Amino acid sequence: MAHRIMLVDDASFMRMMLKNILVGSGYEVAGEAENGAKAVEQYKSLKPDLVIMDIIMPEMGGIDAVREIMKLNPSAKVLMCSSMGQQSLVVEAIQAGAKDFIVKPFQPSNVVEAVKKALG
Amino acid sequence: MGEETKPFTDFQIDALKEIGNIGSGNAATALSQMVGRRVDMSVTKVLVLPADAIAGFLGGIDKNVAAVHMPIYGEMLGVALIFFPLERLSELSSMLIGRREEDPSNLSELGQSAIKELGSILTGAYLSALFRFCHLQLIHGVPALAIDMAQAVLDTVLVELEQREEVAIVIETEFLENEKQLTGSFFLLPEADSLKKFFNAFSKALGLPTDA
Repeated sequence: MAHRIMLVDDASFMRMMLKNILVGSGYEVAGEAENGAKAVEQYKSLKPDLVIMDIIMPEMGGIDAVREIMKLNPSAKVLMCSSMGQQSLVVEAIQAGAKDFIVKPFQPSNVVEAVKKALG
Repeated sequence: MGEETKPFTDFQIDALKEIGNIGSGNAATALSQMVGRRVDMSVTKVLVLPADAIAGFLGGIDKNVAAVHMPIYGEMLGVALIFFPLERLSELSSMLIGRREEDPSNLSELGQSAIKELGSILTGAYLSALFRFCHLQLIHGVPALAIDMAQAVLDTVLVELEQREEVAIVIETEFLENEKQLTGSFFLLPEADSLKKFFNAFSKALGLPTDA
């Protein structure tokens, strides 16, 4: 069965790009959320195999959302997706429990590689 | 149009231009990856302007413009803005989403999202160049898109600054994609204390005396 991935980004454009890459590589997109708070809520019901999470989002940002998700499931797999200007936050996200990060804008091959590695 | 202010020496302006070039290099890579085609960029102008001269620089207070703006925080507070000529917005958006957009003032939700993301990625590219040079950790917030007359956009953005310094650092960049040219202008408007901080970090990186 295809691995189920949840996409979290306030930019619908970024979610669309990620979705195209992932579906094209045989993954299933379990759900999408536009901020951290919605991501945490949806995580509970969707129980995805992997979450790809933006950092800067309105309401609740990605780092706080990772912390909340790790409380719900300490073995949750989250990949951060950040632009170059947010790289200083990536360390914080890794400390919060994220497995790895993808730098925006991304090459499709980098996304697929990071997803494969995170899903182990 | 207001005159260019001179808080920076010519030497410092040259260094800012170099930072702009590094940032543009990053931004060109970013943009090429987003559109899946080669995009070249070069910095055409670096200026330090009083805030009330920005509208003039953009072509007048009533010139219709598209701007992606976002707050800057971390070791410096302020606002970053990227202006695109409104008449080229549909083209830019179509290029990103791969679907034709007709009316620049009425872009689809996806088209708006793509332009905002473009602004945020380009800003990220400039900020990381600044970080590499001056070691100032800067992070940008959630981007917003404004399509309006230049002065109206500026009024909206300037109220976000708590202590207005009224000075903008401008990096004008030319993007060249498939022989089509597009000029975008990146503006950094630091708050008063932050401009001093920026100036000091920048002078230190250049080996010049600082104010502190």
